Amino acid sequence: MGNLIKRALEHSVNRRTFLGWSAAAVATATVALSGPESGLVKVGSKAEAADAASEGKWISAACWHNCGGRCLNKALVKEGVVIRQKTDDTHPDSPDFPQHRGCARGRSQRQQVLGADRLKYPMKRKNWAPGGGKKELRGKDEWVRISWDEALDIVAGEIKKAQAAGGPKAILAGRLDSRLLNAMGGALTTWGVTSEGAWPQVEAKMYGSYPLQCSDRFDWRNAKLLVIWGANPAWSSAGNPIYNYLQVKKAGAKVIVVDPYYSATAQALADEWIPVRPGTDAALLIGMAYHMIKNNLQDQAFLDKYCVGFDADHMPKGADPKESFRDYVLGTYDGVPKTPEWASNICGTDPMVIRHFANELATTKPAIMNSSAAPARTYRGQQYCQAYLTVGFMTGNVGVSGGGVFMSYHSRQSYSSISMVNGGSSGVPALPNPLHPYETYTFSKPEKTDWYSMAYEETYDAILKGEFTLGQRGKTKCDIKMIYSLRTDSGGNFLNQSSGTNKGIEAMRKVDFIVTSDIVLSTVSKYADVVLPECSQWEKAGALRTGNPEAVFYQEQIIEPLYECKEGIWMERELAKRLGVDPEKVHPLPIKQQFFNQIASAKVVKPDNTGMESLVTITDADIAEWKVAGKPQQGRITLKEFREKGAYQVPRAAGDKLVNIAYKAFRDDPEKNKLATTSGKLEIHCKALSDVIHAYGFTECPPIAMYQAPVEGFEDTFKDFKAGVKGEYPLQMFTFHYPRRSHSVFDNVRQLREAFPQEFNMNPADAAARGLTEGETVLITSKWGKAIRPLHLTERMTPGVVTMGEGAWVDKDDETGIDKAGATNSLSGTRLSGQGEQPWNTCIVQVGKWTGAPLTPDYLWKQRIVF
Amino acid sequence: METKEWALILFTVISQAAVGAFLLITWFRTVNKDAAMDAAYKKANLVLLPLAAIALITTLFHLGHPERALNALRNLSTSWLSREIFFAGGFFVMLLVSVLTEKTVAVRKIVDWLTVLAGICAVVSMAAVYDLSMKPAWQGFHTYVAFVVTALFLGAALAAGLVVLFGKDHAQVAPNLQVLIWVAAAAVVAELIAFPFYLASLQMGGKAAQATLAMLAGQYGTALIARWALALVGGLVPLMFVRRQLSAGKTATGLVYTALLFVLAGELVGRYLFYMTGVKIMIG
Amino acid sequence: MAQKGFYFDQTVCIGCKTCQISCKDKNNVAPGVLFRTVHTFEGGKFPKPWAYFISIGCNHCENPRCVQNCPTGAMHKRAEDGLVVVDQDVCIGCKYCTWSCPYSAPQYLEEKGVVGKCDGCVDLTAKGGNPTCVDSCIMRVLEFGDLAELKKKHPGVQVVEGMPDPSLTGPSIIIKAKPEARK
Ligand SMILES: Nc1nc2c(c(=O)[nH]1)N[C@H]1C(S)=C(S)[C@@H](COP(=O)(O)OP(=O)(O)OC[C@H]3O[C@@H](n4cnc5c(=O)[nH]c(N)nc54)[C@H](O)[C@@H]3O)O[C@H]1N2
Ligand SMILES: Nc1nc2c(c(=O)[nH]1)N[C@H]1C(S)=C(S)[C@@H](COP(=O)(O)OP(=O)(O)OC[C@H]3O[C@@H](n4cnc5c(=O)[nH]c(N)nc54)[C@H](O)[C@@H]3O)O[C@H]1N2
Ligand code: SF4
Ligand code: SF4
Ligand code: SF4
Ligand code: SF4
Ligand code: SF4
Ligand SMILES: [Mo]
Repeated sequence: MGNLIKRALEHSVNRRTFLGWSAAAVATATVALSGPESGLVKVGSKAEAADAASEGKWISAACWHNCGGRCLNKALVKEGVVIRQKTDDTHPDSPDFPQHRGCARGRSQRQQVLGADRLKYPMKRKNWAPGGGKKELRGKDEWVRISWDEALDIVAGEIKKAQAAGGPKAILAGRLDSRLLNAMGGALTTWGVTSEGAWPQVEAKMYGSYPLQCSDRFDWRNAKLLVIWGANPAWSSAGNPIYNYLQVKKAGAKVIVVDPYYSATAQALADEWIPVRPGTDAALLIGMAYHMIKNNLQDQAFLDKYCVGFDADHMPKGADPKESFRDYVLGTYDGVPKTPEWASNICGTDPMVIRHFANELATTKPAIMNSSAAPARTYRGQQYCQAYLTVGFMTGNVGVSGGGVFMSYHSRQSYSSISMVNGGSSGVPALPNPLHPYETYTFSKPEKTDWYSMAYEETYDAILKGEFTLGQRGKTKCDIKMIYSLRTDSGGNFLNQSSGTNKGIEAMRKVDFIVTSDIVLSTVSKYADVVLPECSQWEKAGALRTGNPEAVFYQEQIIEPLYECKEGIWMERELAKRLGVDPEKVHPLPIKQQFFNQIASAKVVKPDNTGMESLVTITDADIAEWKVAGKPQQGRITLKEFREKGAYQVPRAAGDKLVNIAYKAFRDDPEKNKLATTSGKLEIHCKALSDVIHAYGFTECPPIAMYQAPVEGFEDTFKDFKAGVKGEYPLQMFTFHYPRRSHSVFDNVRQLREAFPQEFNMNPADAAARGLTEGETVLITSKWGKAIRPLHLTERMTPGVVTMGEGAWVDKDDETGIDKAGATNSLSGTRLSGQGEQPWNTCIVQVGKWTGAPLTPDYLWKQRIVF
Repeated sequence: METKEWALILFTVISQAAVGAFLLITWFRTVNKDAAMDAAYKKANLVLLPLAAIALITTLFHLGHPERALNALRNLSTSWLSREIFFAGGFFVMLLVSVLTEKTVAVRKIVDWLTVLAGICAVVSMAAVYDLSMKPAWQGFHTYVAFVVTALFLGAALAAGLVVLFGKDHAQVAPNLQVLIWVAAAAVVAELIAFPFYLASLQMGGKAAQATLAMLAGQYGTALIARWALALVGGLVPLMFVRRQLSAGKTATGLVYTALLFVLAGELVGRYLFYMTGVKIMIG
Repeated sequence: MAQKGFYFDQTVCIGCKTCQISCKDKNNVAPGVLFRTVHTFEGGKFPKPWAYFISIGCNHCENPRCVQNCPTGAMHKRAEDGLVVVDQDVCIGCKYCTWSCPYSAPQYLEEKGVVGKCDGCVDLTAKGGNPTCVDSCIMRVLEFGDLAELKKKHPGVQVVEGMPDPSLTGPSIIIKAKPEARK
């Protein structure tokens, strides 16, 4: 009875305090989250009172991760308490002028920002000591809370030590250039495409522009056929792209989706789904080309006039006529006609389907093909890009209304490639890395000899083996002592996100010192020595962010910095002082000033499309209120309006002046408007491409689209391909971008885990062959690692192919080597290909029974809370 | 499966047993005018009273807000749960009145039968509560049968226990026991007949019903076997022995108590199964 | 009384669960509690599979079994708009409504000791606004409004494969169903 009364009381207490979470008790923060995932201290009925109280204020809140979209998210703040979120309601919603509605992740932002597992204090690994301490304990050591002074002294000291030992080359700054280190002679950096796979160089050399031009979304609606190749906007271009596609379909286009998985996009839009094995699209396309050529379906006039290299009569200067694409397809010289049957044997698509698809694509005019990057995120991925563009050119859908051979993905999918409004510049002068004076993401100048940096994919070997590749200059020795990963924004969780996590852990346990800054204990920080808690974007002055070309988002501070969190630029300025570097050189501008500069330099297209004009009107009063340096200016909207709306979206209506058609000028007059290719034309035979790929020094690339079996592709699932004998790893695994996360970000948010379970997807036939059933925990093994996950059986999967969402937080048991989170890079290996792209979608695995305890749903798992 | 079902298991089983036992004892009390026995019946009721009270109290443990329990009486017009609480409460109150009005026999007799009436209404509304849920496992005739069977089977066993406990004169106790054993036997047999029909109805039902069936056959299979073993081997068999003993003119007090314990256990396990295998019809 | 209800165009729902999550955010409910749920259904046979989603909250039924069964009257149907809501100050947390709803709409809130459920965002809709889920939908396939008008606007069904028989409670929902989902 006693405990009954107690329970009764508890409940009435709970009722009052349930909403009452507040950060007031910590640091200087005065804000609170009213929510079940908050780790912040209960302070009675504060929040509930607040909720009941006054209207409160909606503030435009940052959603700042690499998520494939950009939307308007707002937080309702009442008396310093974050009550809830909402999305775009700044104007009536319509297909022509749609609101920018946030996705499930954006709507969970406050659960992340105010989660119980936010990093709160600077901390160091218990057993770390100068020189590394017990390095093998990285990833499982205890954490010790330390003061900011101690933390900064340690980091500054280690930087000095490393540079004394090996100069700038001894410190690996990972993906993200450090302005501090750049000011000190630079640091080792990594380059190589993640997102776009092998696309950039192919676009630049065959098409003459990177990124490719794409037509305005209104013109897409003129297409009679829309082919969505290896793209799943429903999941990986959250926001309006899939909604824009719906308008294309409603306007009368037939939709075909090419994908190994019957995706959410296919489910919603596809009139036809063409299954294909991962990494074999080139074969499928070449088989289609064969059918087109045999039935003379290609747009020969277009090929003759606008392209080089299709047939022997139209080869670029100096090229061997025997190297024409046509002859390769027909097998004129290699004696292998690339028939649909030949293709089917590789890509798995039914030969009749290949013929039918080829017919449809060649004869429906105008047609738009849009590819994402997934098929190019494969070993020798450029062969897909070459084949895709070549077949596209064969249809002649270039530079015409309702036509297009596009590559658009991420937040720009389905949109024009021309920005109609931009976020302006922060005004911070560039501070290049002396060791690598080029941009790192798509490093396009491998033939140069003044760079000293490595391919992303080669990082771990560089640390472990002490050497890496310098293009045609060959291998070079290196001795990496320290990994420095202070970030000022989202990105750079390489240990989780780059291929070969297990090798990565080995590498992380070899160096002398690792420092990261983070907002949560993500994988790269879990294996570090010192971790510095950064303010989330909700705790910073603000910034402008853009995604698709039609809107810019104004994101301002929602809450005071939580606990002892600090801005990344404050950290580097403090380190600079300790290292005798001028902080003003490292980070000259406070965030508020950078924010203001962005606003002041933001430009928007004029309604008649005759160029850009200033977006925001700024008055002396504004400048005074902001306490920043600047001058007044005339723009389209007032600062007040911009701030209140939280976004500016270019007004659009069918038939407005902003519609552009990609490559129309070239189509209209190819002589006057040459492309930036060697020949000025579209290069089906492209020597420049082979040359540049050769220059990287990893794999070779023929000048025309050919299919060559990728490492860990379909062929490698066999011990003996000809005889059809399967090998040790008989299944192909690709890894898609999953709505539960933005890569690794948000993976800790339990309401997203609940909504999107980290399942391992497989076709029932493959499961039956292994005696596996729906829901059971299975063991997935590859040459590179092991993972366990619950099994989901679905006919949506191509037989022989399996998949899982990328980005789960590595949760590896050192004893067994098993990752129970299902982080896909625990199963992928590091392989050097083409331009240093990461071939995630060519990966082979085996799946079998798991005899240990079955996994519980991970939204019930303990959160990664340090203090 | 929601948590804290144990409270409901205890509430339904205990209150049903109390109702059954009181009904039977009231019946004896009206037919048997012997003074010594009447004292025994009276003592028995003094035991049933706290039982009824305990049953009511256990329901509180099922509530998120026990302190608001009385709100449960607000919707007698449409809610069988309100009615269940009303009649279960009524049964207890009347029982109390009956105990207090021991002296004034005429009044007590009426009160007793009104108490029985309240008890029966309580058992029926309990069944109705589950019948009106959206869990096929709980819908239909079987819940009524199951609850009435508990009332009579466990009620008879309980009454038997009380009669042998308080009844001094063996010659007087024996005939009561004979009746009680027959009632118990009849009750079990009724359930034995009803149960296959229940399974059949699940068999013919939709996905949720099928799921219940699968659970009974699968993860709860052993519990199901235990339930019947306890009822038949542990409960019925000893009672039959008691009958033999009695007809042989011997006493069998110990056996009666054992049977009571086993029958109780059997009904508890049975009710546990009832709650555990209730599956909602909405997917997910 | 103008009965309010939902319209759901299943044919182009992408299962992005933004509605489910925005609802959780609006109502501050813990993991394990869903006032709106997006269910996934799959079938067919490779290379001709199918898949569809059902996004569903409370259907504010015509004959709400939850209301009929609620012993306290905490669960009640509003006269003005037919929305079915819980008075959490009266609710005793007996969970009977959670057994009484064919759609699993009412959910027991452990921390509060009472039941909560989709209330049609009555705080917003009573003022003529839209529910949070509706205004969050990425494909614009959810609508809320007078049931009669929704019916006029969108011919549809009250049930698809995977949902309970509508005759049980008379749900105020209209669904434009995918062919595979039709009953
Ligand atoms: N297997 C497989 N792997 C893949 C892919 C795949 O398809 N398959 N996709 C690849 C692609 S396309 C990409 S772009 C990469 C992305 O790879 P990464 O950029 O490495 O991954 P993210 O998860 O985006 O990294 C975000 C990191 O920033 C931290 N963070 C977030 N906000 C802040 C902040 O405000 N301050 C600080 N200091 N830190 C913050 C997070 O905790 C996390 O550590 O992943 C790649 N990895
Ligand atoms: N929810 C969510 N969205 C994201 C991200 C995220 O982390 N989460 N990350 C963003 C980033 S940085 C990037 S780069 C983009 C990536 O965007 P995408 O590359 O478009 O996304 P993916 O999901 O990797 O792949 C898209 C589709 O390609 C299919 N596919 C995989 N391999 C192959 C293949 O070999 N051939 C063919 N034909 N199809 C294949 C997959 O089944 C999937 O349906 O996503 C962005 N959007
Ligand atoms: S798409 Fe990206 S920016 Fe938009 S809400 Fe989702 S996570 Fe945030
Ligand atoms: S938000 Fe809209 S599209 Fe997304 S799951 Fe919900 S109903 Fe479907
Ligand atoms: S859906 Fe369920 S909870 Fe909602 S009104 Fe109908 S029966 Fe009641
Ligand atoms: S839990 Fe609350 S709302 Fe549900 S039936 Fe019981 S009292 Fe009514
Ligand atoms: S109407 Fe409101 S409460 Fe109901 S499902 Fe939608 S968001 Fe949730
Ligand atoms: Mo990416």
